[in-house]
Amino acid sequence: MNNEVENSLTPEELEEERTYFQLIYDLEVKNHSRYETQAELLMKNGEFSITINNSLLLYTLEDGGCSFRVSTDGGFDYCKLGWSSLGRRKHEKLKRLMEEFAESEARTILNR
Amino acid sequence: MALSAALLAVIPLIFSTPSSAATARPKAPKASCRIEIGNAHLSTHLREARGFNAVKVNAVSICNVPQSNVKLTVQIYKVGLFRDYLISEKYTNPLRPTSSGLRVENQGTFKRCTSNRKSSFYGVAFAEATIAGQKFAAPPARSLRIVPLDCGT
Repeated sequence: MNNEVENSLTPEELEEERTYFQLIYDLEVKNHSRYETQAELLMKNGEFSITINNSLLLYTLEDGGCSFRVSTDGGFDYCKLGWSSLGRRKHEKLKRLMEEFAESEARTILNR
Repeated sequence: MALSAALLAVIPLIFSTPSSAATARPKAPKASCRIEIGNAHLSTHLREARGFNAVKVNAVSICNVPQSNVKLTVQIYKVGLFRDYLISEKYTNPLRPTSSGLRVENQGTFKRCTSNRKSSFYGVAFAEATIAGQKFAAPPARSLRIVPLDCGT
């Protein structure tokens, strides 16, 4: 519809964006089984945390969606980095949560 | 990134840094900051790399003086029959080096499409930042247009 904004990115920004999306994709393929287990645990307990690249990632179910926070001091202070709606059906929620895990881990790995 | 002016909602903010009339110190430069937010669009990169569509909104916080610890929030809203629905929001991490400087960008806010059903979307962006040692909050800026896209979420 309108790609003007996206097309106005500099070549470096385009490359960064491609790298980011490619990493999300790679993580989803590589960690499919782990993300599935994590998503089930998160849906059961309402909260899940994992350490990636020395950062503690905390996921919580809030307001019909999933929030993602990161801590670099072992869990004393958290910085909220995102929230995403999950849908109503269980299989939708599982799929969306697995996507959130890949996206948040990609942000952590790339320091975005 | 030179965002097209036609596509942007720009909220100009004029921040005056503290100064004292009783002292002979030279006047600190007046901080002029703004948030630019683009319209919702389908990400071609995601489609190319991943084979599926996602609705995406980009925003940037621009100042004429250095800003630091910028938390630039971008929200994507889907237009509903009786109200609009927040479907995704992402924040820049204020502690990261990329969250300081004259320009701070948030280009990571997107939501994957689950179908090709036509829906209408827009973005909202706002920010918190430290400028000349003081904390400031920028009010929400909204995309100029509500854009219909072949994207069910």
